[in-house]
Amino acid sequence: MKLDTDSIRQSIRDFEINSSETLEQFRLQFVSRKGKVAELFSQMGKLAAEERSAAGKVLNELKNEAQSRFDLAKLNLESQVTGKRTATDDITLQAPVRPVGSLHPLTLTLEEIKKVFFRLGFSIAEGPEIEDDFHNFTSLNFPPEHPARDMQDTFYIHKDEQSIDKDLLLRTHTSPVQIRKMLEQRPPIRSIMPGRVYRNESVTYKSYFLFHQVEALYVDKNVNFAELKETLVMLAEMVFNRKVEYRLRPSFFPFTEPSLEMDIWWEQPGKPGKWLEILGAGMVHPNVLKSVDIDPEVYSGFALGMGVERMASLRYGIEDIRIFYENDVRFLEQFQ
Amino acid sequence: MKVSYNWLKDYVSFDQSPQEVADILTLTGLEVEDIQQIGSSLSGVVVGQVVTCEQHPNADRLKVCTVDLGGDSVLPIVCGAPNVTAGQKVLVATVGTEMPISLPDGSPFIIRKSKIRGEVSEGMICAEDELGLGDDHGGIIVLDDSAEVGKPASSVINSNIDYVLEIGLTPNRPDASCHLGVARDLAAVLNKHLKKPFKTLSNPDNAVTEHPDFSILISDPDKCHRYVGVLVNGVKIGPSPEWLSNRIKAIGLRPINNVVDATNYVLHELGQPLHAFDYNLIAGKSIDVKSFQNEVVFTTLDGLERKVPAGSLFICDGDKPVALAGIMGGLNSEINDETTDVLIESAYFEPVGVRKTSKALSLQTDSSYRFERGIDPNITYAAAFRCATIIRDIAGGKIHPKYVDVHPVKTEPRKVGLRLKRLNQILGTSFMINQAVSVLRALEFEVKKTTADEMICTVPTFRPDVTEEIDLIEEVARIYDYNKIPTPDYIHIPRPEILPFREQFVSRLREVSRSLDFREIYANSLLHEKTAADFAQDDELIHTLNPISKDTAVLRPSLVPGLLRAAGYNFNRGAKSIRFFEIGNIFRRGESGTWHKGIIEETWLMLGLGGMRREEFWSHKEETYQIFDLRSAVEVLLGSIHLQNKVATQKVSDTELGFFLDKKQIGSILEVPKTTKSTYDIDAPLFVATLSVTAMQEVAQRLPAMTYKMVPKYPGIDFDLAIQVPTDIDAGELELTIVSTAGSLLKSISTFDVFEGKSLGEGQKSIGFRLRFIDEMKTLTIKDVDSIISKVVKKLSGNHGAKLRS
Repeated sequence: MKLDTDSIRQSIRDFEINSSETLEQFRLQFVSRKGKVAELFSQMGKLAAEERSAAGKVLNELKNEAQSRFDLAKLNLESQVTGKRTATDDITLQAPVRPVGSLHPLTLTLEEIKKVFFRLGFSIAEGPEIEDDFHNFTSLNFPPEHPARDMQDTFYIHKDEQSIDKDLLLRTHTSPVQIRKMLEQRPPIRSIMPGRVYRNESVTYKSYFLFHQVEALYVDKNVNFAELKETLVMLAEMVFNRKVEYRLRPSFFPFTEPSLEMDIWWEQPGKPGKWLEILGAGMVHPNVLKSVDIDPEVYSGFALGMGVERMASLRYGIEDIRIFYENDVRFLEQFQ
Repeated sequence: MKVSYNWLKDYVSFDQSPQEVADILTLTGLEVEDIQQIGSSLSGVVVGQVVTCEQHPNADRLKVCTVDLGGDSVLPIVCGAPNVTAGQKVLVATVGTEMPISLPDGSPFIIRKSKIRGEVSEGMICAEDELGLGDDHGGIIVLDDSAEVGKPASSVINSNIDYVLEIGLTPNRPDASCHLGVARDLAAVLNKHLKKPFKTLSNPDNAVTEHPDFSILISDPDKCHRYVGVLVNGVKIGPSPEWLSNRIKAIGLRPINNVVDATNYVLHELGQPLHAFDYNLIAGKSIDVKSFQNEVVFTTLDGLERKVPAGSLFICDGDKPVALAGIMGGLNSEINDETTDVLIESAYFEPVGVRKTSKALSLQTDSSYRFERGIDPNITYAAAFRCATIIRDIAGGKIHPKYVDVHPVKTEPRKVGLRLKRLNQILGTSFMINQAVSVLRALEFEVKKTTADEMICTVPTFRPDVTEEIDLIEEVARIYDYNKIPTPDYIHIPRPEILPFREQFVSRLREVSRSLDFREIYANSLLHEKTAADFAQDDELIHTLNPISKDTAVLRPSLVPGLLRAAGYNFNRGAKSIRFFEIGNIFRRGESGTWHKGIIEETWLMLGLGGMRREEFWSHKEETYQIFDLRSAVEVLLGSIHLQNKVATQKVSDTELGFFLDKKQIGSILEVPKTTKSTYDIDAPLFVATLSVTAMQEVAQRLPAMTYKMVPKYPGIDFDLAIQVPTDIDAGELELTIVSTAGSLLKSISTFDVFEGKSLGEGQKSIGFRLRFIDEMKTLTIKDVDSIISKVVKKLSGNHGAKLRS
């Protein structure tokens, strides 16, 4: 004898369940103790002993299949109940807004610059915003009463009667941190120095009396201008994330010689391309090395510096520097 | 500084376009920031003859002309010039011509066929200014009758086309502050000969110490190293000839008269500032170069009376100062229309003295600009004679055969050695010695090779910036072109240093603050004194001595004003809620000093929030922020830097909690009082927490590295403790007592309920604490914690008068 499992399995699969009524009919036919599957179980006794084990396995599978078909259909039916939907039972209702944190675009830009230098093995150092004349000017080869000082209009805090070196001022650049770093550590030195600097300039769309710089200093034996060039190109390409067309122009900073400024070729859709200055750099002036007691015949170095506002303006197409300090949420939220 | 393209051609011959010249100069270190075309190319402008000229039917001031432009072309043109009449030969800009001047809105002025008040006009009859040839707009240019109709305008008039290069001169290059100096760099790059407008620097033999007509004395040789006087007699003052006034205009100056223009010309040609005195206004016919011990009131030739500080150098005649040395002449000896005899001054004034006076008076002139950077002390005579020659040629007169040269301080050219090995070591190049030599020679250095790879260079005296070997290296590199120096295939990277703890710590604080949904702000660190005074004692404030304005005169003693300003700004622009943080430095005067004695400069963190915690929404009602929202953020932040158990929170006043680290207050959290908020126009509730990053960093740095703790194996047990206390007891005190009494099984404590009501009686409140106990060795039962609870209750009762509520 053979049990008719195949046709019952087929009817379990084919049975259409689309309402609680049809669900109940399915239950009565296949799941209930009086249903067709139970009926088959009761016929087991009629089988030959050696057939029972295999048949039992098939029947159990059949029973499980009916049960899971029933369970699934029941869940589906329950979740389809729409008649009792409430007003807030609506997945399309708007979700509440939640507060979001963000980092300032100057921070984001500085972080990018830091990342590049950290990849190149540079460390990081800081110094004070209130600095003395020695660190800010004299040790950087700005003699007193030299027109080079006019390049950086200075806010003074204290004019010292005895010594101009002891005048206190708001640092006009981050270069004094180079001096501090070289005074506390012997070469090799490889560090960047970010920070806030001040210039006594009136406020316009392109100048503000405070801004941020980041400098890099590398002093060791055999550091040369060609390596500086290579570093600048790597830096520009990593910061702007593309190949850049660049040019290096001789320039003047009292604390480097030879000195240069780097321009990159900048194109924006619909506008003629132009050279844009992105940084200043040069070989550390021998007088600067001497002022921190490093022998310029043995060691050489390069330094470079750039404005964080300038880099951020280029990255994000910002044309008015003042917006960085207004802290307008409608500006800040674009950088989350 | 403005440089004329045509003018440069006087000293070096080249075919390069203005843009190419600009690129070359830029790459030698003379950055050309702008190129302006002046004059007009006159293309599209032709000679025409006015055939008819009738009154415009609809406009009184306009005329309708027909103009013959040669060939078959006779066109109607409407013209507004008062002097237009039939028969004139005129210059006509034809349709399509782009005029050298722009429209008032800056857009290009292109001649188009148009109707002017109803009459067709197909061109423009031009006035001088419209062609960029001058300022005259009185009427159209009327040509000589010999002009041929139909020919281009350039066949009858000089177009005066030139290009002005605006150079951003760096302070180390006084030599390039004149056309000859700029031409020198250009010639060096182009490998061309530099033609000088003088034959030699050395004096001819007609210098005298005793001049029959005047005397010169230098009383202050420290400030004046050399003074040359040349007399030109019998000049006739008048306007300069066209070539000179065009050059003067090209570099942005206003022509004044032939003598003054000649001095300005030589200044911009050779870099030597000159002054021309009216010889007949020099009292006693004597010149004394001296400084005064006292302040001097002096009227400069711009007509301003100036108080000149003591120690400033003057040129004096027999009885009075006549010029502010190196800066500006005096009104009392100025060249005027009646001048017939001119005394030309050519001098070397020492840079620092000129700079001090110029700074003190806030008076920078073309002259002081050059003196304070250092001019060539040896061009003094050549420049004076060059100027005298020009004056003679354009203003008549006779150069006096004798001249005076007082030269108390002589400047010998400096000698600087250059080692080829050093040059290649610094630049990373492999120059041959002759390459370096030829560059330096092109720049007029005298070079003598001493060994196979060493040389001694005599530095020309117009290069005061070149004092040592590195300066010579820069000269070679900049003329060779930085961009041509090959870059290495690899650079060596020394072993990286470990990042300082501070960098990691501050980055962490910033990241955590952002993840707690605060927005980073960058606030101004210069404040108005009144603003700053709310956040520190007056004697703690640090003022700048020379603020731009009162609004930015004091360094911030706190980060809170930055929050207030940002909050006010945003609330007043419609923001309903703000959550801001800032990490920055604050400044106070103090005994110790951080970097400099007496000045405390510390890094702080500010977290602030205010306004609506949630706006009205379908799922909830609106809520405003409470101080507890900020406290929870601060607690998470402290946890994230592992200081949660180190920082104690303690009430400082009813509205302020202090944060303490090792008993020292390192910050606080508070609600900003209404009085403060009103200054910033803020109504919304606003809370601020500040923490000293410097103080936290010191402690955090000493903490052992964080290590993992075993996750508890056994479940804990919660016990709800509801107690009744007098209303004036602080919950924080109760919490401290519970924590200190309950022992190590107590893992956390949570305040689940606070209420007061009639049932408790007057002056009483109830607080519910949920205590969670966990034992790492076993599963706790209520029996295990019973004894702890009764100990806690006893302590609460003893210390605070608390009663257990059942």
